[in-house]
Amino acid sequence: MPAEINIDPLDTMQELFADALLAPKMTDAALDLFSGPPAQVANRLALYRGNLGEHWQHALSGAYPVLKQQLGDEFFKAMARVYGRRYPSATGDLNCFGGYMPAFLQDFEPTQPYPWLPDLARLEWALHRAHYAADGEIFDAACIATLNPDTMDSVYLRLRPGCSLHHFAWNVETLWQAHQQEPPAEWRDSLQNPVMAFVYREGWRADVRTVDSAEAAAIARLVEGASVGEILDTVLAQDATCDIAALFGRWLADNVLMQTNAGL
Amino acid sequence: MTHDLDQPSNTGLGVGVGLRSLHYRDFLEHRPATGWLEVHSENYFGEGGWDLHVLERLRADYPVSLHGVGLGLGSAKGFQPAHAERLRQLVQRIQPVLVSEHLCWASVAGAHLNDLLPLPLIKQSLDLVCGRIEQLQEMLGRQLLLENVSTHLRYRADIFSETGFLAEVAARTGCGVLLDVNNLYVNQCNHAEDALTAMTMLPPACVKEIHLAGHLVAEDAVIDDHGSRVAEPVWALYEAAIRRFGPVPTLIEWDTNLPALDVLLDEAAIARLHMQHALDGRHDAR
Repeated sequence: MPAEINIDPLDTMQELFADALLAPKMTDAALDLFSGPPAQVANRLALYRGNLGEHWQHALSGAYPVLKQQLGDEFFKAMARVYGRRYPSATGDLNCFGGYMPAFLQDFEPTQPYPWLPDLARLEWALHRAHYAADGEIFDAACIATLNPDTMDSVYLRLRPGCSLHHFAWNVETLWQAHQQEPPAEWRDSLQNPVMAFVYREGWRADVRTVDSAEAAAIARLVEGASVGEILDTVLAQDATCDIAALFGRWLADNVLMQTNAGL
Repeated sequence: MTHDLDQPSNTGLGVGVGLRSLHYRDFLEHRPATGWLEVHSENYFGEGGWDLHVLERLRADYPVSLHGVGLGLGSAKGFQPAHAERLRQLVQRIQPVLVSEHLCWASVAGAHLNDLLPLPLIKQSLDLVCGRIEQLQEMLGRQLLLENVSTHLRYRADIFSETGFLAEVAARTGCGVLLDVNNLYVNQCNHAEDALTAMTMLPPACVKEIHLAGHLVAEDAVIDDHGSRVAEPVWALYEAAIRRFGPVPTLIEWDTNLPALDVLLDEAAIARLHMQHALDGRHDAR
């Protein structure tokens, strides 16, 4: 049945093309697919390979601007090409590309002298996701007026989409904030201090700030779906002197809360 | 399925420009006059946030076209129904005047290549693309436009020309064609395919949108980089296209080396002059 050997030419052709883009050594196997002199075909395959690296680099630059500043443009560009082969893009939406950067940096030999980079990548990915998170209904100061102290236990608040709490072994919050100005402020002095950091989006801008253990515990309870009454109990158990009004005032000012009708 | 998908020809839209984030502020603050705006659909696939907010605000004042760059309609493997579903949600939210995708493939099992890769122009591709377009049009409840791509490579196995392939797809599925005139020119340079002949393969009524952009003449090939003004030979082809296809909505695309908005709008104004010139010539010839 020689005429029918090639039962799936389209699939095979695309596999050969993709292999040649992902690995230059696979170019020869793909040359026969295309019209034109082999040397010209090889050069033009290289143009597509270059595009692929450019798209990876562009997408990662958008998600990891501070990481890029830390590593320098040339290094970052080369690293993007390694990253894209190790963790291929999974969707046609390049804003979703790059989520494995913390794991990648954990193992990537050339960045081992900079052990805080995986934490920095975790932070920047959380900020990147917060940028695209759903807008959601805001629970703001006006909503407070509708609360009745006697029924506090049946009021449930939740974090708005995009908010997340992180425990970092390195103080990448200070590092990141320092790089929001040009030239970057000092960030090395506090780098070795572990921090708890809260990522949120106030208005349209994703931001991060450190939180103390009482606030971190409260945020953790919010994530679990606790009622306002239960959250107050948690905070006061952590720190009996905690200024509850200031804590809620901050959350309201940062637009991080939304109300639900019942617990999770 | 060729049921009544054919939508109004939108010839009143005239010339529009691609909306890119660098120009958000200019559009929000000044609402400059332009026929319509086109965006890359995937840039608005987030659940919310600034980009979607801007698009929704501008949608109130401009007709918006959604132009997909990541679906890969011709991928034998790795095609993602979830991507199509995300597009459906965006179409529902934005209510665009036009929705378009590319005649290309983009993925294999386990890896998306995030590029507009040229499709082998063979029977199997035709069946695959037609099936996907029928599904997508059914999902969206509207006509899809399919764009010709620029390519550095052509396959030995090709049995169709690209515009011949597009004409087949349009006839079988009822989809429209988004004719990128710069891509025709780039392919003319890279593959000695005559651009005017390529246009004659398309029935006049199926072309519903035209793209114009700049290109880069590099050592190994002419590259469709959308990084400069439209080149003179492309304007000449554009006038030929208008004479054949009529006053089709036309877009100036500019994606790299983005200029100030004034320059982009000026290029759109030049396109309007060329469109008018071609239409005048068409009337004179009658």
